[in-house]
Amino acid sequence: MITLVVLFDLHINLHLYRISNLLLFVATGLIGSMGLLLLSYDIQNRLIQRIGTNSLGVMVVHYPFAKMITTSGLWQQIAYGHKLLLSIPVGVLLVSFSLCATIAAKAVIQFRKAGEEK
Amino acid sequence: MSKLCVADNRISFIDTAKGLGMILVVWGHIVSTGLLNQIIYSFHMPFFFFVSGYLLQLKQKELSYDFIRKGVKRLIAPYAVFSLMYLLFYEIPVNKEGLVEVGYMLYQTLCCRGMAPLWFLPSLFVAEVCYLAIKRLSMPLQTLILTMIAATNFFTYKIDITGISGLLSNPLIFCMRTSLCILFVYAGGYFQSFAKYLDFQQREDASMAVSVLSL
Repeated sequence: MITLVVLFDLHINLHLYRISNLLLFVATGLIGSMGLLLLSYDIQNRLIQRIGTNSLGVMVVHYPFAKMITTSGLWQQIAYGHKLLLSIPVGVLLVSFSLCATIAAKAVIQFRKAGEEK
Repeated sequence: MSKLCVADNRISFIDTAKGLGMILVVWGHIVSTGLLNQIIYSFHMPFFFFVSGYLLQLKQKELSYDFIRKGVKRLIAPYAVFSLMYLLFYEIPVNKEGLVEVGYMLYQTLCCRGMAPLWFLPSLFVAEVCYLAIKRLSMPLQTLILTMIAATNFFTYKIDITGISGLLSNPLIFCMRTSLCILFVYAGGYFQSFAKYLDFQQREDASMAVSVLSL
């Protein structure tokens, strides 16, 4: 799959429906999806499960912050040449923050619901 | 703990899979260019459609008024709420091009083209409904419709839709994107009906085979 992406220089943006090679995209999409699903069968991690349970919240919360970080001049300066390395701690921070924000928002909603029921 | 353990009606390995997928989504957004970004983008969004099809098949869902009502509550309501929040708290303060651009974004939202990453929600809803509708048909009709969807995508994906016209391109992008997503949802459902016959050892072998194939 990685070889296909490298060999054919596959560029995908499903949001804007910009696909450089549709057949390859379908192939990599299916292989990657099956691989990830089968891989997850062998992984038992509560934190990853938590992220999965709150995936919608994490998806919504992380994006503006990710965009702000990656488009800032500071990131361009600091991360120049080391983007891959720096993306790991930044990613961990962003996921943690998004997860905490989602769990907190859910707790507030539940708390208010409980209050209304009383 | 069983991998198919159901707590609060949730399946643990599906949550793990969604968690892994979400980590890839965040990582892909941070590493905005380069090979790693290309690799992640080649499967991270199809994966969520694939999982959705897998779950629909696993839970034996049928197309009904109740399913659509719950889908609107689960996907379309968050889409509307979060799109409004994005506009108010992110796009308007950041946007320097004024109200016209904001109005255009509102139009994009109404067309379900959506702002990143919210586009996923209406596409998933429509893809799920279409998948369940297609599944009710006879096998030859299902094959015909899926072939037509694949052929339409194959012959049109090279056209730069964003270059057509501002107003027309947005609903077109949504339609084309969602039609492609239906194929991934369908593949997920098909995979589930196949995977349920695998025992643990076969699943391990399949996992190994797909991992080797991926690399």
